[in-house]
Amino acid sequence: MHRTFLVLAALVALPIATAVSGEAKPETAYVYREQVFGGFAKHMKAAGMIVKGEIDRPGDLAKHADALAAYAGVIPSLFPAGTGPDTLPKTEALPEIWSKPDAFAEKAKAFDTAVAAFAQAARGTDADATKKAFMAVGASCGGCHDAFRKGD
Amino acid sequence: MSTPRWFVPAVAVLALCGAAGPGDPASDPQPAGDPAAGARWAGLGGCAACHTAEGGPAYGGGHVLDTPWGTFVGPNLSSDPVHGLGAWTFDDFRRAMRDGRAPDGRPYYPSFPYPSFTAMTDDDLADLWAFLRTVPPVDTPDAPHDIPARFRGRVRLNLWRMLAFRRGPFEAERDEDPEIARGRYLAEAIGHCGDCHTPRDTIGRPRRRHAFAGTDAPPEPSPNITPHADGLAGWTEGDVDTLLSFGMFPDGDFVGGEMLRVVQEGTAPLSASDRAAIGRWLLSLPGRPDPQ
Repeated sequence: MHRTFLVLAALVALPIATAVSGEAKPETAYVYREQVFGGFAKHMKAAGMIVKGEIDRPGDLAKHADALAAYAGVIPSLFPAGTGPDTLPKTEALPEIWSKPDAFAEKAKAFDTAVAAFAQAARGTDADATKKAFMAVGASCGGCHDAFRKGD
Repeated sequence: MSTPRWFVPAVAVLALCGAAGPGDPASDPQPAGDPAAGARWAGLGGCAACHTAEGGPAYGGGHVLDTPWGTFVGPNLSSDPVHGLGAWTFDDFRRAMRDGRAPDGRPYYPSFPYPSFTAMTDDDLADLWAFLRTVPPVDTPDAPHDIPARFRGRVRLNLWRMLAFRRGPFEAERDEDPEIARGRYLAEAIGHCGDCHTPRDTIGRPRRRHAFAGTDAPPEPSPNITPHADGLAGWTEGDVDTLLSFGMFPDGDFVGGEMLRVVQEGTAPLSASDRAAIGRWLLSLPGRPDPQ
């Protein structure tokens, strides 16, 4: 009776404690970061359509850039310990993210910097500079995927 | 009075006589090449990738290329008269590109993609040559290649040429759509896309049956770029154009690695119509599955 109560209490308390401490389960952390990176891709795709002139919404460009900029700084925090391919076989994140944290942080910073420059260019009137800044953001995406994402 | 019929050939013969003496720039009739166009062809051809050392001066040579047939070091293409191409004539340059032979007649190793560049037209070669003449001299001597004995030497190279080399220039196929022919020319003769995206046989020839169906070969795997479920099935010409303009995939992801450089230096600077031609050609290819 007493032991059953303890087991039940532990079963209830563990997830609560986990939630309170902010330590998401690996699976949850994975799903969350997939959404954030998916958001980056969607904002880049939309921004690219504007930069290319496929759609005439020049005023939206800075909004996309700002959305990217708002989240760019969180990238390293999206990969807490224990969310690599060892525990999550489906993740494309390579173990190097955890074994070379400084190099990874540097790539994340490069994205942050490129996005900030793009946000500034998107507010100007120089279409060529905006295009270059947009491409620099894309290069920072590809440049990090090379080293830290599976299959690149 | 009309020009006599013998006049044009006679002038041509005289011009050829005047052009004689390869290796003598003083007698080189400078073809009216456009260096700005030549810079675009150099970018699309990826010349700098092999002919510039990492962090080194442009076209000064020194990039190391590891292949299954040996380790090759890209030579100096700058205008330095001793270590670069400063003493070359246009004819020397055209022979290197069209025939894969050095000014003294020695065959080059096909790590230099002359089997592709052979198809470049004289006009585009003249533009490229005009551009290379503008490259500031770099006085770095060429480093030797490191080639296993079984792949080395003139005899083997000449045998390889018999088996693998078809001399250009480019010719459109009968009934080929002119825009598709243009795209094929840009992609095959200059861009030499197949050097990464087509698997090779044991002597390094492209396996035509798997053309552009992707490879796992170093320096990095290259995807299938034919309109097949393993490749670009479902892509529009606009999608291809966006990739070649920005390096962006249809889902908003971006290319990295070697292809990032191909986009930045090669396909992004092209004219919109040339880029569109490459897209039309690419999507006109037969879809082929990934090679086994």
